[in-house]
Order: sequence, then C-alpha cells, then structure tokens
Amino acid sequence: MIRLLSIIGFLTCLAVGMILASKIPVEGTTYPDSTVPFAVVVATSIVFLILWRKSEQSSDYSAEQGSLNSNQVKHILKTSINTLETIHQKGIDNATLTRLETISLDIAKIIDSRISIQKDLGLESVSMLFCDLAYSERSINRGVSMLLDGYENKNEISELIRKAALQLKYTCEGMNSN
Amino acid sequence: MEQSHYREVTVAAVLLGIVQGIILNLAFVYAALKLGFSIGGSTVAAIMGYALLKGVLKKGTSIENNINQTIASGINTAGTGVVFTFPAVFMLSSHMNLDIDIIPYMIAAAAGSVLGVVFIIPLRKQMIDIDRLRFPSGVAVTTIIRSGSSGFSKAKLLGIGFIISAAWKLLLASHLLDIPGVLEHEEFNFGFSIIPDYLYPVLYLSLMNIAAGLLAGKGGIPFFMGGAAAWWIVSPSIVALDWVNAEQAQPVIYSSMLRPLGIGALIGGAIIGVIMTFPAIKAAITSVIQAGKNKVSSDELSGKVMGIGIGLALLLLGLAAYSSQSVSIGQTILISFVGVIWLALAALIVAQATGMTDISPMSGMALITVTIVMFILDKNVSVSMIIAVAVCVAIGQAADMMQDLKTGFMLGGSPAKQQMVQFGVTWLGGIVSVVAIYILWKAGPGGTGGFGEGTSLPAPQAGVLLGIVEGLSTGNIPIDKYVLGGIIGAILGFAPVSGIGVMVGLGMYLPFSITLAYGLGCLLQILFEKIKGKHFCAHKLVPFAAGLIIGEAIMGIGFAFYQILSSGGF
Repeated sequence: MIRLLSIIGFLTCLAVGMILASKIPVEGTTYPDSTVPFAVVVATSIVFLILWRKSEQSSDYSAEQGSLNSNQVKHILKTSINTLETIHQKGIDNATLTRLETISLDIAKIIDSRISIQKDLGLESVSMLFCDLAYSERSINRGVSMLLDGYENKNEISELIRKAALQLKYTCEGMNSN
Repeated sequence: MEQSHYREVTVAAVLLGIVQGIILNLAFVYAALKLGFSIGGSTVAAIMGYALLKGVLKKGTSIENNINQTIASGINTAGTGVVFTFPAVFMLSSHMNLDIDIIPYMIAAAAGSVLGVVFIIPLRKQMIDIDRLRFPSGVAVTTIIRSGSSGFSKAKLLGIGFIISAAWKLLLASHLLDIPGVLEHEEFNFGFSIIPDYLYPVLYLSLMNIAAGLLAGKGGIPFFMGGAAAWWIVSPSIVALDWVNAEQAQPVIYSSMLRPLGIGALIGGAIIGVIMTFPAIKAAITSVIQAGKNKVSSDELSGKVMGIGIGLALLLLGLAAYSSQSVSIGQTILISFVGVIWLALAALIVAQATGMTDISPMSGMALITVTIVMFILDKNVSVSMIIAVAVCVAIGQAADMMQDLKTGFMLGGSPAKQQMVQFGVTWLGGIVSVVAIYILWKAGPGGTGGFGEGTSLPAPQAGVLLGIVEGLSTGNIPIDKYVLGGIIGAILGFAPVSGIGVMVGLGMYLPFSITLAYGLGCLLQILFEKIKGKHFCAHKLVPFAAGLIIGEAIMGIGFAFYQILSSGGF
C-alpha cells in the first residue's frame, strides 16, 4: 500500500510540476512566476520518491510472477552447460539447432528475471552476470546462424559450442564468487 | 583455435556496403531536401545484400550480410545528419551575408562520423549486453537476414506483415483514403469537433510506428505515459488556467511549452540515468577490460581505439571550427572539448531513445547544440552550424550503429569487426552528402539558391533549423523550459524504473500522434503476451512486426522516388 501511494503521490507531484513549468515567463523575465510553486511540488515529489524507493527495496512487488531467483539461474546455467558439452562431444546433428534455440529461450528467462535476480545479487553483480552471459549468447547465436546458413565445417560449429559452454562456466563461476 | 572460414568481413561485403551506402546517401539526401524526411537504409541494404551475397555469389552468410548493411546504413545515415543541418547554412547565407567554405563542414561531418562510432564502444555493452534494450529496427533487420533460412512460417509472417504495411502505406500516401479534417497527412483526427484540439486527438496511422511499439512491449509504456501526461493532463490544465488562448492552444502548447520542456527532461533524465546506472557502467567497463585478458571472450574493441578515436575527433572538430571565421585558438580548444562532451551525452540520449522506442530525437539535440555553441561563442552562427553538423552526424551514427550492433548480437557477429568496418568507411557518408548539397545549391540560378522556399527542393527540415537559429541570434531561447524540464527529467531519473526520465521526455517532445500510435503497439503486445504467451510473441509477433516495419520503409522509399520523378525528376 505504501508503495502504491508513494507512486501515485510522486507522479501527481510531477504532473503538477509539469503544468507549473509550462507557464511562459512575462516579457523581460527568464523564469515564469510559477517557479516557486514548481520548486515546492518538486520537493514534495522527492519525498514520495524516497518512500517509493524504500518500499521497493523492502518488498517483492517488483519481482514478477514466475521470475527466477539466483539459485534457479545457476540451475539453468548448469543445465545449459551440460547440453552444450553433450552437443560438442556427440557432434552436430539435426537436433542441434533445436537444442541451441531451447538454450536461448532459457537464457531469455534469466534476462526477464532481471529485477528479482538484482534483489539477490545487487546491480553491479547482475550487470557483470549479463555481460558474461552475453558472450555465451553471442556464440550460441553465431552457431545458430552457421547452422541456418548450412555451414559445412561441423568441427568449427562444435568448437564454437565448446567455447559457449566455457563462457557459461565462467559466468557460473562469477556468480558463485558473488 | 584455427582460423574460421565462416564469412564475415569480406571484400564483397565491404564493397557492396560502400556502393549501396553512397547510392542510398545521395538518393536520400535529395529525397530529404524534396520531401522533408529522411529514411534509414538498413532494410534496403539487408535485402540487397541477401539477394547479391546469397543469391548471386552463392556463398554469403548472415553475418557477412550484417557487415554489408552496417556499412551501407552507416554511410547513408551520415547524410541524414548533414541534410538536417547543412542546407540551413546556405539558406542563412542569403539572410545573414555569411561566406561559406565547405571544407570545415566536410571535416565536421567526418569528425561526427568518427565520434558517433567511438562513443558506441562503451555504450554497446551497457545498452545491448546489460540493459538489453529492444532496438526494434535492429530486430527487424535480423528477421530479414534470417528470413530465408529460419523456416517457412517465420518468413511467411514477415511477408504478410510486409504486404499489409506496404499496401497500407500506398493507400495513405496516394491520398485515396483522405477525408478533409478527419484523415489527412497519414493522421486520423478522432476529435470530430467534440474532443478539443488541445487534447491532441490525433493518431498517426503508421503501421511501422505501431510495430515498433509491438516490439518494445511494456518497456515502451513510460514513453506513452510521457505523451499522455503532456496532452491529457498538462495541456487541459494550461487551458483551464487560461495561460493560452483555447482557440489556438495546441500549436502554442506544443512549440513553446511541451517541446522545450521535453528536451530539458530528455537531457536531465539522461544525466541522472548515467549516475544511477554507474554500477552497471562500471561492470561494462570491467567486462571490456577482462575480455582482453580472458581468451574465451575477446571480441571487444579496446579502450585504446576509443582513445585514438576521441583524440582524432577532437583534432578534426578543432580544425573545422578554427578554419571558419573569427575564432581564436582559445575558443577553438574550448569548443572542441565542449563539443565532444556534449556529443557523448547526445549520443547516449539518442542511443537510449532509439533502443527503447526506435525514435531518434535528432532535431532536439541539434537545437541544444546550436544553443550551447552560440552561447559560448557569442552568437557566432558559422561555427555553431559547423558543430551542429558534427553533432547531428555523430548522433545519427550512434543510433544507427547501436541498431546494427543489436542485429550483430542476435546473429552472432563480432562487435569489434562491425565497429572497425564502420570506423573505417563511415566518414565517406558525411563528405559525400556535404558535396552533394553544395552542388545542389550551386545548381540554382546564378550559382546560388538551388534549394529552399520557392524552389523545387524546399528543404523543410533545414527551414525549421533556420527559423530556430534566427530566433536564437535575437536572444529568443526558452532557457526556463530547458532548466525546469531538466529538473523534472532528473527527478524521474532517480525513480526505480530504468530510463523513465528519457522516455517521458521523449514522449513530451514528440507530436502526440506518434506517441499514441506507438503506445497502442505496446498495449497490443502486452495483450498478446497475456492471451497467447511469450512464445507466441517471440516466434509469431516479432517476424510479423518486423514485416510491418520493412513494408512501410520500402514503400516509403518507393513513393518518395515516385513523387520526385512525377514532379520533374532528378
């Protein structure tokens, strides 16, 4: 309830601030005569903003239904690593493309759970996680492009998949160290 | 690991990109002078690349085509920045007796091209890897590049979207559906004399615009909210308070109140956004540094390249300013540093706005640039316009490069290679368009006046800038709106919703008809996701929306050429 009220209060103050800021100054002045009331509503909006930020930190409101926590993220990463290593060991076949696309969808779930993971790990660690994850995603995307383009050098695709698995391991290690 | 034989940066891709880029640049510069709007070339380049690299050479790959479209759109986009600003210099010359030497403008355009690419090096990690911004046009180009090989169903949806959008654009552009006062200029006025004009009851009927909203989804809602707050709360309040005449409220509220406030909010929101996301920026920089040490993930351009690029651009910007009229060495150094710092911020704002909404607030950034430089250089119009050319080219490049890098990410291309090729050839675009505009001006009677009001090339965008510069030189600057808007944007920037300051500012700055159509797209995406699920959105809605974007772009280009040819041709 505090969160909702603080958001409503914040947005209302800013809307009033916008109205007051819109007034055109009279000839010969730089600022309109509504500047003082503007400053007052802006100061009030800051109070509501502080309340909003505090309620955000102490609640689970921002985490959407179905969002993953950091343990579930680790589980997805480990499963993806296993799948990639299996592909690398067994070689490229007709099912490889589907498997890679499944991994991409799993990683997308991690990306969608950003807010809840951020609550667990903090902004800097989540940013590092996403940076590291992006390296693996790029390799996987490249593998998908190669397969869709009908690239014939299967060893190179396999090697790329091994690299993606290594990058995911590196991401996992980074998460564990946090 | 042995050398990869998977084609990426090849002579064919680079040459095709350069040739397409120059052709598109010249064509779109002419079209922009004629019609008043410019067109992105990524989609055309990607389709041509697909046809030539895969169809003719029979060995093209997706990421090779991405290199081709990166180069082509980079060269083409430089022209957009130039055509928005440089023609105003010629038009000013007849009003203000300015001597024009095109060399400083060529140098400025080249400096802008380099800087736009340089500032993207750290922003790429931040916006694509960490913030995961959507970049709708980047997604659309990926869909084109993959359309031939990612299954018939996606290609079919892309094709359906293309046909619907192209047909719709054709109907609108041919004025067959026009009803005076209700449906004109591709906009639907649903006020019907019942809803007052100051509530802006107008919907832009662009399917491309709605499709950008479809791709952005709930991430685009703050943008819509900014526009809705401006026109459904602020505007009627202003009228109720009797601060404007209700009869002519809409244009005054937009041009004198909401637009400058929106520009201020954009800048304030962007500055605080940088401060608030500092931990993420730190992580991005750490990741770039670690990438160099970590053998499994070394695909980044180093900070050294960025340093060299900034040094080169500083030098070029200084050279461009110094080679113009009446500027001292001290002013040159000052303007070079201020120009580069402002440019970094403008690139950040534009890249973020494009990433979230697909819309680039280039005119607002040009306006602020001219204001800053005229303030520093005591209303020196010549140098202000030189710096404005550099900034417009740079921010156009930044936005385009980010879209291309998003495509590269989704295809698995190397960002370092993409940035290096763009770095290597993009300067060509600025120079080509400066020379083209100079020739067109000289083609007028008596060697001047080849474009502008009363000619076959009215140059509407430059006309707007001309009006602004003339207003600024008489001291007509809405400083209060920029400052108060900046405070609103800054406070929004502290809210726990990423990028809300920039988005709300952009919503206030743009005509509401655009924001409304975009918001409709966002709401539709949310509805589809709720009813049909995420899988449907990812595999059905994305290719369909991409088709809508491409269809309108291609038909828009075709129609522009038809209009040019039917009114006297080239």
